[in-house]
Amino acid sequence: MTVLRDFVLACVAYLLTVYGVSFALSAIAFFENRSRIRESAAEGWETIERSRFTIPVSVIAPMHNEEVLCVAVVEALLALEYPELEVIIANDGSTDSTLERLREAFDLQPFERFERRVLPTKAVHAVYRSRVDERLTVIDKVAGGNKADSLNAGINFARFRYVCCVDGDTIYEPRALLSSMRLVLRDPAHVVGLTSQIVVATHPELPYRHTPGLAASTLLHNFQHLEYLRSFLSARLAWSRLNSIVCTSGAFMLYRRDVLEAVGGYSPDFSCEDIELTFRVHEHFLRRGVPYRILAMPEPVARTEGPDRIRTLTSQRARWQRVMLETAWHYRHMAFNPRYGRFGMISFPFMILSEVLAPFIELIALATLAAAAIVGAVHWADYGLAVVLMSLAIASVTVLAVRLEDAGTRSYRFVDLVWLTVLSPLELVVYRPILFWAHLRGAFGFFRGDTHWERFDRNLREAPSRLELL
Amino acid sequence: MNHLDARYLLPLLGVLAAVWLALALSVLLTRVGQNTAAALLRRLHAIVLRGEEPSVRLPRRLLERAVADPSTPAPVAKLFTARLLEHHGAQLVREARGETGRRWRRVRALTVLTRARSANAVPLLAEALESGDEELVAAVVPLLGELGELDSSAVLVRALRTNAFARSRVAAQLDESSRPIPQLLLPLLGDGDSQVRYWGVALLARYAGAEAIERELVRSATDPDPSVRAAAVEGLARRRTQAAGLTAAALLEDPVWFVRAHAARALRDLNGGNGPAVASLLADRSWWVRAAAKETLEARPGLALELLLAYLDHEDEFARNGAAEVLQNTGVLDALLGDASGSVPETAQRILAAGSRRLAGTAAARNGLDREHLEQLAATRP
Repeated sequence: MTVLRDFVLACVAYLLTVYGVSFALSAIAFFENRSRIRESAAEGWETIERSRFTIPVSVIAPMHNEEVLCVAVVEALLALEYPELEVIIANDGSTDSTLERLREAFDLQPFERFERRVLPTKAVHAVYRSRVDERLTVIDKVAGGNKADSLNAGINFARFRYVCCVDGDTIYEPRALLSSMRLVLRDPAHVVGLTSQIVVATHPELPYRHTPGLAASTLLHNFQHLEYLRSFLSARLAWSRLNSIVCTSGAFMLYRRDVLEAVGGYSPDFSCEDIELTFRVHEHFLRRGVPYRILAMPEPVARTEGPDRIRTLTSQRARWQRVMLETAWHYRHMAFNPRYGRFGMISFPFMILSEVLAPFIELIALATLAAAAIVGAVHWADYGLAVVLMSLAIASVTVLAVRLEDAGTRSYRFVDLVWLTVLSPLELVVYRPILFWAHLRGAFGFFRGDTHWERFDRNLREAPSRLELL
Repeated sequence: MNHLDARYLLPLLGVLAAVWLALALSVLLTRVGQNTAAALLRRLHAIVLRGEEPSVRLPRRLLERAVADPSTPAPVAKLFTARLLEHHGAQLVREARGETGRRWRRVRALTVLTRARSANAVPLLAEALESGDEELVAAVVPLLGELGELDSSAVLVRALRTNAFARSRVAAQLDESSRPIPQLLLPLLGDGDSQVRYWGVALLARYAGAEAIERELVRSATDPDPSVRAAAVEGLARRRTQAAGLTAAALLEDPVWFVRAHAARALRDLNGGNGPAVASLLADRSWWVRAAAKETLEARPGLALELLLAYLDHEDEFARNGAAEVLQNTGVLDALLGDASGSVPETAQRILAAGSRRLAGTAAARNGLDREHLEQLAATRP
């Protein structure tokens, strides 16, 4: 009984710590979000958009079997409102019709271009130039088996000082680059990296106002939508304020090219590239004592398609959990190490506590509660009460994230706002068990030494027609 | 501890439920408030655009928000600005001075005064610029640019000198000035700080058409700081004169790579001679210089053809690759392959050999030729 009591108390202490820090982060994010909204309202957007002094950006999108969305993605990237940019698509050995669709849509012609081979990558078969838009280059390369290899190939071809690495299955907002580069332009000497908010949508190729809305979408998508909001607006914004962000999202990673080259580019040795790169950049600057900033912005810059089946969702999240464990293990020397400042002393330890250890603690908690219920140490009524408490704690952080989003964009329909608010307390019992299972799978995968990379199977639907996109 | 103690759990449950409910209501009520304000503004816009005067007295915050919003129609913004000045003029000036100690209230007041083109606006903006408050300064710089007058530009030039805010952002505002400001910029060229000289040169490029400015840019092309030299040659490229061409040609041999790259690109824009000097940069040790040289040579295919053919046998592999790439991009290779009836001409073979297997593969794909055959030719020099 004593052992059981200690376990229950340890779990309660764990939950109190995690929720307490989450609330504190939400509070910091609230002020950060307010500052960014006010700054944005006072910004001289037109000048940035027109100026010859606005720093040009190379946008790199890796694509592997993206025939459904590839044309829409490239069109959105070429439509970015920014004075000078180039778009580099790295076709990573697609076995479907991705290259053919791109070739047809953008009138691609093969032309040799001798790149700067600063980062090692798999061989490039051919380089294509578009006769429709000269800013577009498509690299057709041998499949690298991961996104990192394609991104590195793109960096070798990039000409501009800042590189924005994006996903090949994500649709970007026209002002994505402009709103993100705003902060870079304020301090290009110190801002070395930046990420911004990604929104999960059932039909990412359609703007929100042209969709039936969130209330008409599946529960799985809605919970992912809420989870992304919380992750980007409550957590990343707060860590950005403290300059100790642990992950610049792979769907939108804006970095100074010289920094990417200095740290050796993206690593293909991890299951996923974004979080590991963020750690490496922190380590690079903190070791040298060079001032730098990695920022997160609240503005939604893109819409991405979340998995619409439980199997694909668990597969995706298992991979995320695996890479979290791989990264935490690889960079364990930074944890609780004062040499790495706030990153080493606060944000990385919190990541270990709330993300890395979560599946193990959740497993222990489940086993303990089951044992406690069997021996009568916990009454089911109390157990239910504890579940309601946890649900409300998560829901409060979630609703605050919805509030932050709505304060910045006011894009939600009122019915969707009500829907998201109502849905928020159900996350613990409806959605979290799926994530719990995925995290456990990811943890076992890590211990098995599994490092394979696979994107989730594309949701089953047809490519959007031009008419739909219009 | 037989079971969790409800004495602690129930109050905690009450607190959390209240927090969640309060947040949820705040989300929904804030949105209702915003929707109502937006609807009210839309109605007012319609009234003003019909040429009528709205009879209601509107809340100050609503007016300020509408004035600051660039999507507000100009006549509406003008009317609201007038109302704000009429009812709250003195208060706005106090707030713009920062007397309330609230940063964003100060920004709103400065915005209203700027949009009203108030005589107080420039001195108050200048005062705010010296506050050292980064977010306040970031909001003030676009307002000074928006005014676009000589006095507001002078304040921005001062900000450029003192590095009060990111210089590129200040320069972007000055570059948009509707009034010519070369007299404000020329003194920057004599500044001791090379960054100030750099921005002076970069901004003066807009006025490079004037002879006096051109002389100053030519002089800056010998500045000890390489970034100033690079900016000078870039600026001179806007004016196709002999002096500009000579300066760019001289800087092709600059010891700093990015000056050489800028000089090569300037020669592309100047459309002048110097083919041999530019072609020699194909063997430059910097990839960026080689890329700039290729761009320039591609822009002038007629001038470069003979030179490039010579570079196909250059001892430096980068130079050979570069020459082949230019001949590919200018259509010379395709023309040679297209004319070939059966065998591949020797010049085309030389281009393929100077390029790479990949160059041969892409040439075969473009021209519908046998890929393996061209790749074999690329592997053997004629």
